[in-house]
Amino acid sequence: MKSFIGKPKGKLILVTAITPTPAGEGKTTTTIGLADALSLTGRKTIVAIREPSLGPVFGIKGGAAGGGYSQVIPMEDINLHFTGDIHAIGAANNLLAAMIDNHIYQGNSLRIDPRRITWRRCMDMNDRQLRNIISGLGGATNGMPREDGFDITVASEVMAVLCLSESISDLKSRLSRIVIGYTYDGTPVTAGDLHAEGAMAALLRDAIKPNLVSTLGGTPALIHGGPFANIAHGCNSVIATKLALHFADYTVTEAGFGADLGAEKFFDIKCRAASLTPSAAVVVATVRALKMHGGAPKTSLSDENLSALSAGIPNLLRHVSNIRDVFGVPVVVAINRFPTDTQAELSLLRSTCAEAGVDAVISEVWEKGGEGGIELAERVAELCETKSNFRFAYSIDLSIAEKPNTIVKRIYRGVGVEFTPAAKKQLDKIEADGFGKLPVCVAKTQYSFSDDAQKLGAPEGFTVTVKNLRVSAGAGFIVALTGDIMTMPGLPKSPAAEYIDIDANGTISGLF
Amino acid sequence: MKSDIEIAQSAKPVDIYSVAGKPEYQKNILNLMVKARQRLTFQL
Repeated sequence: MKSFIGKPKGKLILVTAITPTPAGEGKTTTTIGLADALSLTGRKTIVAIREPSLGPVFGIKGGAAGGGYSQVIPMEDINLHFTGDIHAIGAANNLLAAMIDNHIYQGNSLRIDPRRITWRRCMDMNDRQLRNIISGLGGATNGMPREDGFDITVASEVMAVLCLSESISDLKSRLSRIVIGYTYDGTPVTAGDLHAEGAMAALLRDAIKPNLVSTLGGTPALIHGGPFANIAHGCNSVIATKLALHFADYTVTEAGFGADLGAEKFFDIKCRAASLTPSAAVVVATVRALKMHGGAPKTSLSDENLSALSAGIPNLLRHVSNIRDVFGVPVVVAINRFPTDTQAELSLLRSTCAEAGVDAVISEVWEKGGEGGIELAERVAELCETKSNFRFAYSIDLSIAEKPNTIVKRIYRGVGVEFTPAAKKQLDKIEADGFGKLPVCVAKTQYSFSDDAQKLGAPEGFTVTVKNLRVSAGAGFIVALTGDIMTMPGLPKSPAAEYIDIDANGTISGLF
Repeated sequence: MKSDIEIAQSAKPVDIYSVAGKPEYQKNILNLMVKARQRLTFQL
């Protein structure tokens, strides 16, 4: 394994996006279409993307296999269980949970405070009923009653650990460092203290291996791991990325949510941890979403609205500026074209980008597959030959308090960070426990540069409030929670599950 | 207009290893690293 992942030699291309809206941007579709376009133009290319979680598949968002003629196949397998990696991660997570409660039941020699257990159980389903529960009910033989809860599996630290590990020994080492809670005197207790890492890693023996499928255009696709992009770093495994870089001349990958969250974490957490250097980035934007950022209501996004588009473009330009000027990565904008986009709108978007010194290329990969992304592929290939002055947004030597403050100022373009009194106490504890040199993973709403989902576009003058800090010592970062971040989503009023079916021949319908 | 799943289900199998890399890598990819999905997509 090491012989493959230790020698990355291809070009690494990140596909990211503007601040998401319910209108949709098509990031995965663009990622897959760009890879097919690079293949079509004679370039050896591999896609590396995340595995879909069952929660969104049956909820409101749907699957994560791309769309139209830019998909990875077999899409129904990929969207439904795939090779079982996420279930294996859930089993490893829940094994640790069971070992924690068993340790307490068997006498609690580590003196774990049941009120301060931070490790939660998980399952790969949107089930709000399980967010907060009381477990261990039923009397003395049925465990110690305590407050407990479930996260969706992709929000488990085990997922983040798997995605940042570079070998089985690295995986075990990271698993052993997971902090599961605290003793009565406030000392962190780890999975290693419970001797859980070996069995957890054994459960993940196959899950650590990437999954190879293909795009509709025949480009190889490694689909592996799928951590949340709020409380975790939001991109596929390091192993898959390095494997792709070893075998292909061009590796196209993506990061979750908008560039303020996904790209920032891709650069500052994943690239830092794995010593990766991106060659180019693509920011996906749609006219529809930019009009929404400019104040147009969701119900009228199909109508031409140049003033709303003009007002929304600063959101795109801020993301582009961050990638180019803060991280030093060459960047191009991919305008994911919708049938309702008018020529006047497309012209306005391209000309405004040009005035800002940014190339914007129209992408039609949803409708045409790789053929619809040839211009984008050529531009990306050109960018890959230019000099990348890749750098991080902050130094790892900054204090834990200064790291999110720097992200807010440099990436979100806010005034800075405020810590609640509880978070200030946690800051001191984290530094005292020796975690001060870890990067910070900011968990905030994906719908705004700020921590207020209602502030669309390119807001200024705001302060981000950090309410809570969590140590993800196994993954190797500190999570700064800026609000009520959902780690166990619920189903909507009319979930996608109501429309998914299978016929007598085993053919599945209704997935999207 | 076809739905995403209809487009995906009408796709023909792809010989992934014709595009995955040089022949000498193929055995290693299969044996060491990758859980290839053979059932629908591959002609190994």
